[in-house]
Amino acid sequence: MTQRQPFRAPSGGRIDRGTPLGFTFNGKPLEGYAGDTLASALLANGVRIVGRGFKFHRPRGVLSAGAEEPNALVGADTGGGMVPLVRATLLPLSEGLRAESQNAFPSVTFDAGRVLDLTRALWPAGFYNKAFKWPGWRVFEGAVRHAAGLGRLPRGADPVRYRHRNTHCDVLVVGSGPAGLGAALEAARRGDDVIVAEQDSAYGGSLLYDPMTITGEASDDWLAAAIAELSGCSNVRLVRHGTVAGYYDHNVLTLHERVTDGGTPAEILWKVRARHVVLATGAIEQPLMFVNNDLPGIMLAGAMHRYAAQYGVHCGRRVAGVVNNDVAWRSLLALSDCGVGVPAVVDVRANVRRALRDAAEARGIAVHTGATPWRARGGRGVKAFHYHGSDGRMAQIRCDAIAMSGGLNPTVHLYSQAGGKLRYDDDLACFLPHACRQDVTVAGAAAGRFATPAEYNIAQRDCAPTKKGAQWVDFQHDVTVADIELAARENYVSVEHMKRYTTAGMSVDQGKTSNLNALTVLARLTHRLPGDVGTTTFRPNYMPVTLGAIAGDRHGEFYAPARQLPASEWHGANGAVFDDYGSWSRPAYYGDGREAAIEREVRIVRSGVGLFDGSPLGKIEIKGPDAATFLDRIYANTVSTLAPGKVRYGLMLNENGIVIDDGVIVRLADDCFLLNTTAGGADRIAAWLDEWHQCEWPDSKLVIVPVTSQWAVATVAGPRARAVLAGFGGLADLETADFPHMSVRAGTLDDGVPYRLQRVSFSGELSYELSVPANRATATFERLFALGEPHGLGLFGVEALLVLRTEKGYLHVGADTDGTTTPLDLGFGRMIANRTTDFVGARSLRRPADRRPDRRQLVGFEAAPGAGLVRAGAHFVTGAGAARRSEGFVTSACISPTLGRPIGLGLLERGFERRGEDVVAFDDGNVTPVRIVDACFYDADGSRMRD
Amino acid sequence: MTDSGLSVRITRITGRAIVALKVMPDDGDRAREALMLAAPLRRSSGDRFSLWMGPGHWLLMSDKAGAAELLGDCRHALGGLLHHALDVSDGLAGMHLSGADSNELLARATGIDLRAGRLGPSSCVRTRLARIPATIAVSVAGGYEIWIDRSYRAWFLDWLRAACGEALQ
Repeated sequence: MTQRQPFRAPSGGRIDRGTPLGFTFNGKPLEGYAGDTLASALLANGVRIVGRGFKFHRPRGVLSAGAEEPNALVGADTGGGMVPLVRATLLPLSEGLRAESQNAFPSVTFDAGRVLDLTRALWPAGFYNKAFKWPGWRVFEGAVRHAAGLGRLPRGADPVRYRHRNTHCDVLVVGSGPAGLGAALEAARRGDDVIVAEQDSAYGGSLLYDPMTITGEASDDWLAAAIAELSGCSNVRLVRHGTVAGYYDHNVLTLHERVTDGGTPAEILWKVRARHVVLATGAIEQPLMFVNNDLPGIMLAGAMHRYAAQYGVHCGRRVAGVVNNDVAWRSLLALSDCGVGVPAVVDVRANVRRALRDAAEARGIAVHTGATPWRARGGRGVKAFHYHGSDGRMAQIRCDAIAMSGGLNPTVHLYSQAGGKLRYDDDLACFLPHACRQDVTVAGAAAGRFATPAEYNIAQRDCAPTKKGAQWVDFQHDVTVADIELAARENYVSVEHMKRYTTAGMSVDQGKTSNLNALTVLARLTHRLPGDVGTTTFRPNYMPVTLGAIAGDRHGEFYAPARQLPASEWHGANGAVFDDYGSWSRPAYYGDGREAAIEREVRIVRSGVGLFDGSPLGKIEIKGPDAATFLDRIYANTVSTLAPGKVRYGLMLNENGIVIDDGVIVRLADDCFLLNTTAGGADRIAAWLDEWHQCEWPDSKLVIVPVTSQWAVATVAGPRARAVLAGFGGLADLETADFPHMSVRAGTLDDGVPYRLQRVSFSGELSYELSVPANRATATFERLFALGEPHGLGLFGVEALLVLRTEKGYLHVGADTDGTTTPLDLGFGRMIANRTTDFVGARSLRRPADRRPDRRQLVGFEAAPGAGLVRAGAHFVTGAGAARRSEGFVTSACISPTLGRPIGLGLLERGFERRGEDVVAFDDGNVTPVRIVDACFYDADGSRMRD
Repeated sequence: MTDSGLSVRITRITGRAIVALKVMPDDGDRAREALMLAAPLRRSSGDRFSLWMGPGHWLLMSDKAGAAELLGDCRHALGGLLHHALDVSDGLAGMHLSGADSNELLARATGIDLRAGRLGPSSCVRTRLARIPATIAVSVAGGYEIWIDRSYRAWFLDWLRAACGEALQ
């Protein structure tokens, strides 16, 4: 043993002793070697306590050597900031690594939270379901939430680079142990495109510490040859530090790769689409359940073997073996061969094979069979192990570590995620893959081939509850056998119910070392077989995946795709302040001072003329002899009676009668229509129309072509709009007699550019929407702006338009409607009643629930001048205090520049019959008296836009 | 991992006439025959070529002929067939991707199988690229032509630049 690493063997292991690495744990400088994991380095340095239990803050040490680790979850900073919940067993040691334990105060060696363990009887499973009832949950909520959780989220910028990557392959092999590499070689040799994913830093799996002979070769030689061959194949990709975390339908799997080879740390989340998947994920050794089986120094036997053989680390000076199967004996014998002191092995079985006994005794290991493990003794570490011998007498083994093994359980998480069914194998006492609908093969230990039943010879797991100490089942969530007994006693006998009642298997490790024991205990308590109890559902992710990896590059400016107007730069040059509306970046207003700008723009439109960019307006053309009939079915109002050259408002519902979009319908010709949808709904509605056509009425003779981005739309609105457009060459007579409100014309401008001109209004003023090809947008806006200058034309943005339409009482779908709003709620009852043919949503509107008089109906409201803005989202309330009740809410609101007072629209119970009534708007504690009025506040007869 | 950028050349495609043509899906074969349009999942070649967008749906393109001529082709060839052909030259943005790392770049943005033999020359697929609806056509001369809605162009180019700027191997 070295002085600096007192538990490091003087030789052996696959570490690079020529490359020492300095790191700190809880601020203490320590040293390990290249090739170590953080866990192996901590063990080499004699660090026993690495964390504290989640609930009772009991001291916990490293239990395992792999992904199943429930205890050694640490905060780790490898240069990219402190990341919580990192498994020390998987984290490669690196120079300068800073690691810290979690869930302990003031320190991991002395944690004040341990008081909870001393009062453990007060906090049984499900205590939170029974406690905190009086005087109320809120009293306790803060303290409980403060106590909950593991680790601290890192603060500040995250230097780690995250990326997504898609890939396809013929064969994805998960795991690079002998079974995985064998499958990869076979696939590679037949020319398949192969990916091998290994979550550790080295390929080989169990071969790295448990050598064997493979096809007549020593496994080290075979492994080196296999890796060399695969590395040399152009059709093979080897991925280290890559955890396959999710298995979804159609053989789509997610592979979380941690790139650590120098440079800035990076994580890549692969989405792999594989024709065939080979799961060679191995098996996870299970703990035995005895009193105090969670003490630091008690580890899985296979893990101790691995630390000794692969890392040259002795996990104790005197290691007692406590086992129930033959495979664990191999680990104990190997430990002894590595120089670890193994004074005794305690086996619950009486029928241990003679050869194993002989091998143990030849190494000086005392053998105690037919024993019943009772308890480990110690405080911050193991000091002794007590058991009942085959004669029933209590005996003790002095030791500073215990290598335990409750047998192996195949790692079937991914298989189960794939939809694979499991079956319980009585001989192996574990769940095995059985059948799966996806193209997947399970190989090696994951398929239960860790030994033949005769060579394995596992004793059935069993553990009787006792009141003389805690037998831990779930180390991470601090669940005991007694907790499961309590759950069973309170009739939570379904494994799913027991899981949720006790929280066994619900934490970060997802029960990799606890699920099997928990259901075994439940089976015993409910007099069932483990196979009848079954397992809980395995869901992605198999291992935690960082939120950064899931997000990839979807943050900052790339959070969501942003759409730009064709004349976006021109608007910017003219003072536009952009904001996001749906997916579009649009001018919210122009110039400085948001509120003043909006008010100024509204006044310009009401009194003069304004210019607005309406390009995002959805545009979908439908052509064919059945187009009119199709649109009659799609819209809640009749379309077929619309004359060519005319425009009509239309309301679109879904099958439930809920309003999903609105806009105008333009009849360009007898057999051709242009639908204008909301800007945000253009793509969705185009898909909606296609779906109805293709799935419901495929025989309808029509074709649908979305053309939203082909056309830029310049809206000229205001009393002087006609005067401005009159100077625009190529547009014919704009007077009402020739070109009335709600009509359209199309043609060619003086310069040969095609155009469409619609006389429609969303502002309530005389308004024209001029559409030109998008590449002409800037030139068109420039020209209109110049033409408008003598008329005092001003630009107006989306915010002013929203005020204008609110004054006019025009509906804004998505703002004034929600997922419950029908056209009847919006005052379109007469329109619906006049329909004589069927349409989408019609049946639903006949439901009694949609005709209840107390439904929330769209109304206008106004407050006294000077009352201040009543914000959208404020509630119309009755009563006060605890009796206060919401009768609806404000959907749109503004302080009307035109009317000089706060106005708005809202959905109010029985709203139509309450016009003239005074109600109260309640907004985050502020109460404003408002009067319910008609939704239209301005130019009710529409003369301003029609004349 | 390397810290160098990806080796990808991105050039904008300008001046191309594009016409969206739709017929009833059942009439797709007749339209394809009449106009020598691209087969499913393919891009045709020639002065006037087309991208298959779906059953009964193509984008007709030409760098030499104008949209009016392409529309005229449709009128002439599809006389009695219900169809709708519209000039969408202004509504789409195109770019050409070439270079050794083109596949790596695209693999960050789309789940399409880009392996040789799966997406070969003259293939054409519709997908989402960096979450944007896109059409990818494999150029006859090599590389990829990518077509997206023009409104996404600025954002997508920014995304491409950022993705090219750092390589994770």
